[in-house]
Amino acid sequence: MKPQEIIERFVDLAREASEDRIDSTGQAGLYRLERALSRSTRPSRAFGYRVGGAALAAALGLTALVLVQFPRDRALTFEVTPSCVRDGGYVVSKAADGQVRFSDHSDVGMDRGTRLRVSSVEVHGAHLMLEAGTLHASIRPRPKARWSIDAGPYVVHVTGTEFDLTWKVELQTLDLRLRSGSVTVEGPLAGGDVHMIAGDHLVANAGDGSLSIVDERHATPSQDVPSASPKVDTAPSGAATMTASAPAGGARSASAAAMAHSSGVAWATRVARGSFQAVIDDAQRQGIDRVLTEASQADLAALADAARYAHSQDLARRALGAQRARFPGSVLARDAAFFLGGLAESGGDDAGSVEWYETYLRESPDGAYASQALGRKMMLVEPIRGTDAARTAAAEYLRRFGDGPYAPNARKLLQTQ
Amino acid sequence: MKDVARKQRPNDSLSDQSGRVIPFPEAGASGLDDAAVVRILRAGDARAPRVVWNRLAPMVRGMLLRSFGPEHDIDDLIQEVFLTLFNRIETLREPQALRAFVITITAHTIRREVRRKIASRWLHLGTTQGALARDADLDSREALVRLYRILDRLGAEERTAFALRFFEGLEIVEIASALGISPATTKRRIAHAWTRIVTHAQRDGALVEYLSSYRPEGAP
Repeated sequence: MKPQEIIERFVDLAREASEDRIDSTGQAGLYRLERALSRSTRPSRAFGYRVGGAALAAALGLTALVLVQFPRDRALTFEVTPSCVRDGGYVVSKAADGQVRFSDHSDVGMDRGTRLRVSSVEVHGAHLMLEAGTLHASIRPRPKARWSIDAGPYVVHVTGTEFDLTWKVELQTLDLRLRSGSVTVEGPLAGGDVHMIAGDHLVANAGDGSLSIVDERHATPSQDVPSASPKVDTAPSGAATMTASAPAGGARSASAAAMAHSSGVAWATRVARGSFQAVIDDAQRQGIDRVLTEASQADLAALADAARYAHSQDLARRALGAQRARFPGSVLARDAAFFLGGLAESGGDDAGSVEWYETYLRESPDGAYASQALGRKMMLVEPIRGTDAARTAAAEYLRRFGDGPYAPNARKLLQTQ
Repeated sequence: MKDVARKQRPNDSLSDQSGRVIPFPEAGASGLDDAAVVRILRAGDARAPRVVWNRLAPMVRGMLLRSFGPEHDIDDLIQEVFLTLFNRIETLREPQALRAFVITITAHTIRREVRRKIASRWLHLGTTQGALARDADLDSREALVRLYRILDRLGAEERTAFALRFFEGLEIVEIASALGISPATTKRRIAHAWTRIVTHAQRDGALVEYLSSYRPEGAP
């Protein structure tokens, strides 16, 4: 019997024995789930262990079990998906939903192209270094929890909380939105360390020492931090800013970045929460033409993202086009070329797609999406420009990204006579 | 679901890196699309458990059943998958990818359970395996039990990757994404699992004989 037949019949047997349906017994699981959710606790797993026999054997077994399954005194472990992790805990998110999951159920989501290093892991936390990009952290509150994230010259100290953190190397800008819990930010900040609570949105620029904190819970400006520099809010979004007078002891600067939006929540935040249609609706209420000509760079990027995720390709194309036309040379405008390539590709315009990928590679040869752009170009270029062009792209891909996701295809192309 | 993908050998070339949602059979009478389901999940809507269960429990149950075979109690695992879904729903960026998200959670649950089984075997705390039927008396259930015992010899990564590839028909990139490993590693795991399963199966004469004469239901 051939190996292939063994596997095929095994699969057929397994499939015959397990239809994708839930019978009345299975429906009992729904009630169990509802009860568990109403208690807001995880049900204890029936591990099925039978600790019979001698008491000594049971004790030994349980001890071993604890060591295997509940390593309370061991350092945390983590796994990365679907990004890749390299030596020294260096993680590069190649997908839009890259995630680092820790064994204590804390997790750190990463936007595409984000570069993160898990510098060390300990029993009660971990030390991360955000080299560039945006992460979305959900740190599980635990006694003695000790987490910190370096971002440029800043250090964010965390106990248990949820937040979105962006570090833009080119602009030397830290952007931190705290969704729950509290954190302390240490670094070149006016007035020393800053303690943030849920709803605070901090933008700090290490280049000029400026700082702003907005309380987004109420979408109103908060107080002003005493600063050596009178300048406030140099957030890269370029959003409108305003300054509030400083109540005693308080002293924070203020920004009205979120006030242009009907919900009081910035579009980027809403995109991060998955409210794509809400962002599009908001833009439509304000008038798409007006938004495309007047919105900040960050809002244009958020609108383009929302439109792409909601499959409104025309709107995404227009927003990305506006990004390139209004903010030429900026990182987001250069990145827009890559996304326009993707839109062209999904619209069946392979030639247009290749041109956009080449534009991106020309403008951002070492950009966050360079590997993807070159890989996609390699996959598309053969029917358009012939085998030689594809092989050239494949050779370049292997030279630059030898362990990248398109490397197998590149090797295959080069082996083709 | 007799798709082409599951019939491919483990060294299939990697053609595309883009993620896809696997078209599992639709379940449940709800007219809501996945994005709407995610919205009610996030909103804490009281209907959410029922809607999500009716829509996804058949798929989750099928995946777990195929991964662990008829001898394994999967009810707790189904609960675990759904509780994880409710706990993690805020981390889902693209609501349209709800099914892919659940597949990923299920894949992690499978891998974790395989690890637990291996650990419990090592600790001799698991249930002892019952005696196998006499060689000449193989029926489909007994054959299946023998085949799953061969699967039990595999490591967690290999077994999970094999199950996702051949039982569920997922593409290499999708498995890699679900397990958080590279496509190359995924291929190696599957190839290794393939070789080991075939080798062990071929040593069992009665099993090979049964499989040789076996025809799936509906086959000509």
